[in-house]
Amino acid sequence: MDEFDAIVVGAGMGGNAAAYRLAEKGASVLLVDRGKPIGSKNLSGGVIWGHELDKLLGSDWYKEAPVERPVTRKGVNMLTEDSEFSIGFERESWRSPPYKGWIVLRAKTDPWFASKVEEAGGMVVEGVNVESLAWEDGQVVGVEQAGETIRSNAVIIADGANSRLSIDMGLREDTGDQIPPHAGALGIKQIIDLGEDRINERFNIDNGAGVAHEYVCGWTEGEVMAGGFLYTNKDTISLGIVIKIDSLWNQEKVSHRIMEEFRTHPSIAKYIEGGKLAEYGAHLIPEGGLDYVPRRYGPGWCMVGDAAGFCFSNGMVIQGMNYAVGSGVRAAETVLEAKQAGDFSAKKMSSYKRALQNSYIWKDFERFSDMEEVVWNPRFHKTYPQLVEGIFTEMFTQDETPKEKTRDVVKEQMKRLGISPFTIGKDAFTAGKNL
Amino acid sequence: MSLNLTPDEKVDIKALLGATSYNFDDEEHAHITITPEICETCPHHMCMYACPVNCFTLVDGVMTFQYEDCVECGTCDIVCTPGSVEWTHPRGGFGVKYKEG
Repeated sequence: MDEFDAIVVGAGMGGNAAAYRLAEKGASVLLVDRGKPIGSKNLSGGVIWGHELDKLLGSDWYKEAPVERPVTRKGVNMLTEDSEFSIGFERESWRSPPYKGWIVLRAKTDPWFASKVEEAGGMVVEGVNVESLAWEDGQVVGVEQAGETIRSNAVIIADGANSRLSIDMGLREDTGDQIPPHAGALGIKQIIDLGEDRINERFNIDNGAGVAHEYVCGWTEGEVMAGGFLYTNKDTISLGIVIKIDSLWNQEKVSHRIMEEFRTHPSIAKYIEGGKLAEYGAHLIPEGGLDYVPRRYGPGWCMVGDAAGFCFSNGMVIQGMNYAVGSGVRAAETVLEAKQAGDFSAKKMSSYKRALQNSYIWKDFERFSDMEEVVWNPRFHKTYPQLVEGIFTEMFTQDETPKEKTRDVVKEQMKRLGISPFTIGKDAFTAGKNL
Repeated sequence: MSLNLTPDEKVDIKALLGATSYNFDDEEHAHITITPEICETCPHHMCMYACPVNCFTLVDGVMTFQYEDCVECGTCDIVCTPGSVEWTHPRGGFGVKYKEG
């Protein structure tokens, strides 16, 4: 007799979701996290898009959960050294359910989520680091912790971007135990305390509204590619950058300096002026696509969320949490089916993969490599912000010379930056096809 | 480069990290260790550029790692090609302790 039907390692969005679904359906579940308290190791940009949590916890979950603000205005902005080109979208109906996205702070939401697991009958243990699985006859039979085996019929691996269990299982052997540099982005984040009133005033919103801005950091030198984000919490701002790690190669550019350049950029500084730094943190973003790990299930185990590489950005939104919840729920359902059948073999657990393949999650990631081509296209990060800056600057410059036609201004700027109409057309086509 | 940050202005990471909470473990339980002899032969020292909290510094040409400030992001483990970085999580309950996240 095993101690638990399932052990879930990691209490992030994926692990909490998996443990909640298992507990809610009457399975005995142990949720274990290395952070003490739960949530103290968890950090994300800050917006949970989509509706996986509505489906799992009921559409009123946000009334009880420590959430910050709903996203009611979305901005996509291109920055050069001292200019900004913005596209903003705001919709009144985003102020009411069903909300498109919630801005959250994970050290607050995740302990709440874990408390829901406990309410549903799960056991939650904090401050315990699990780095290896227990095996018997080629089957996972629990986890090893401090020389002891805690037994379970199944283990759900939800230990995040730096998944030690993946390494323990040899799933990252090919890359020398590491995430390949091309699959990783580094997120650096500052929480800036501004106070509710100043936030509402500066962003022209009220307490029922929130702003999510993404930025193209077009001022960065050399080949460095980075994106920025700014989200309004209740009384703080989440400000951060996402740097493509392999773009840092041979650039002699320090990651936290790019964060500082972003923070002090005139377009950002005006929002956060007078604010006080409340927290500085960093986290890996596993933008690996479907090839990120060779397997996501096996005899007695499933892998979900960041550990499984379910994270990506399409230039407009960075998504990870919703995929984590979605994969967590599907893994839990696989374990529930296996429990009913009394069969935790790899064949049985493969229904996790089928459930993912039948969902939007797999389909989103099938388009991943096409999307990558657009999101991390150097021209979108360097040339186009400069092109837009050049065109607008020329168009709004009044001097003693006759005004040029817009068409000629564009042509001239393209020539200055050495970019052909053909290349722009090709990029526009690729972007239009894939975004 | 942003106009508000001059090229030689240093980022004071220590000051920024003053806002972040930790539960420090003792040195014998440092979760990351490096082998400076391997770093000596490393052609790029990418750890120094990539680490978001300046844990890697050259002291008289010798690579040093300062585990206390580490926020456990895992970036050094990715960029360190020669395998100098031995990376694990801190013991349960130790290390960075986000209050916001």
